[in-house]
Amino acid sequence: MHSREDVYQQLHDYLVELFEVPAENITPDARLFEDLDLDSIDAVDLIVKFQEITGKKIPAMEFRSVRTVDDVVEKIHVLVSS
Amino acid sequence: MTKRQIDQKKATPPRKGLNWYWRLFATGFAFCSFGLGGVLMAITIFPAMMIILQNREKRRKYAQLVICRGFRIFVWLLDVTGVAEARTENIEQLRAARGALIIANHPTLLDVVMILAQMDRCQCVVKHELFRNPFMAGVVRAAGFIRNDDNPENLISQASAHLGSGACIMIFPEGTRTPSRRKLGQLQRGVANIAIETHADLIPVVVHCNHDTLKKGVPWYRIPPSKIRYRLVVDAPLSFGDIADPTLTRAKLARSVTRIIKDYFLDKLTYDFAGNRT
Repeated sequence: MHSREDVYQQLHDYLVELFEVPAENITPDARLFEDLDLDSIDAVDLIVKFQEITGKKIPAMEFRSVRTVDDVVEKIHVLVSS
Repeated sequence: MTKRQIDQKKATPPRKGLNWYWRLFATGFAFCSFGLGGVLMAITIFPAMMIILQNREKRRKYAQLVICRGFRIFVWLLDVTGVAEARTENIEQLRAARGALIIANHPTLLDVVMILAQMDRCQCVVKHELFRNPFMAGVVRAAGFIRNDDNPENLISQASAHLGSGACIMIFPEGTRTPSRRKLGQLQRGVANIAIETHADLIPVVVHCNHDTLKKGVPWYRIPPSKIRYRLVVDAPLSFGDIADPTLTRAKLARSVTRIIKDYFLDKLTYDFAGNRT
């Protein structure tokens, strides 16, 4: 999972499989809470999932400013490529 | 009546008789008393309890009793002045409940008052603005009510401590009042997440109201054409074991439990205040 596309695809799959988000709603600028109906507990679950797969500790604070799908991809991508 | 007469009747707004002016005055008076009551308690009973009762849990329990009794007096005031009244069904179930989540739909501003007035003790999840509201801050703090804007882990761990000690928690799954002319607003998943963590049973209270009134953003003086009548129907508890599918992951389970709650209320609300199918 190195490229931005890989991260996006992984996030896409998690959103569909874990959080029952309809695939057609997922776009880079879809907002997690408003458009995709996630809540703050879901966000914690999502961080844990990415921690498992990347093997890196993801500080929850990093995710405070996250609003859209693309924001998540950006954060994760920076973390895995650092 | 001819068609023309019917048209005329529709065109003229209902005449505001003496009763309407009286209820307007009484509504204003009641809301003032409510605010004053909150402040008075915050500067008399609750500080006194801080001194007399050293144990925080005990203090909160008594604060909740004071609040429930205060609400009961307020509801009595609303009733005798002709502003509002409440009828209840199976309310004993609510009084006997221990360690359960009490969930209700939220048509009007006064739902929580009507429900708590029936009880002796109850924990509540309340909107965080009340902690800064000059009239209510003292009350919600003394009772140790749970803030709805706390981070989710905190909210759930607080809730599970209270449920574990046998307290019931009142929470509106919609998170805010039902929008005007709707049966039910969109449900938040907080109730489901607390239940998943604690396996607490859910006791539904279906709130029927005869008027579309006391909505968010509507000023208090826009009063309905007649006395507000509530009907609070307490139903058999939804046992967590019955509604939760243990094979689901947390996120999916929260969604499925929330759907069950939503369907439950929608089903009950297909009948209106008067018991007619809508």
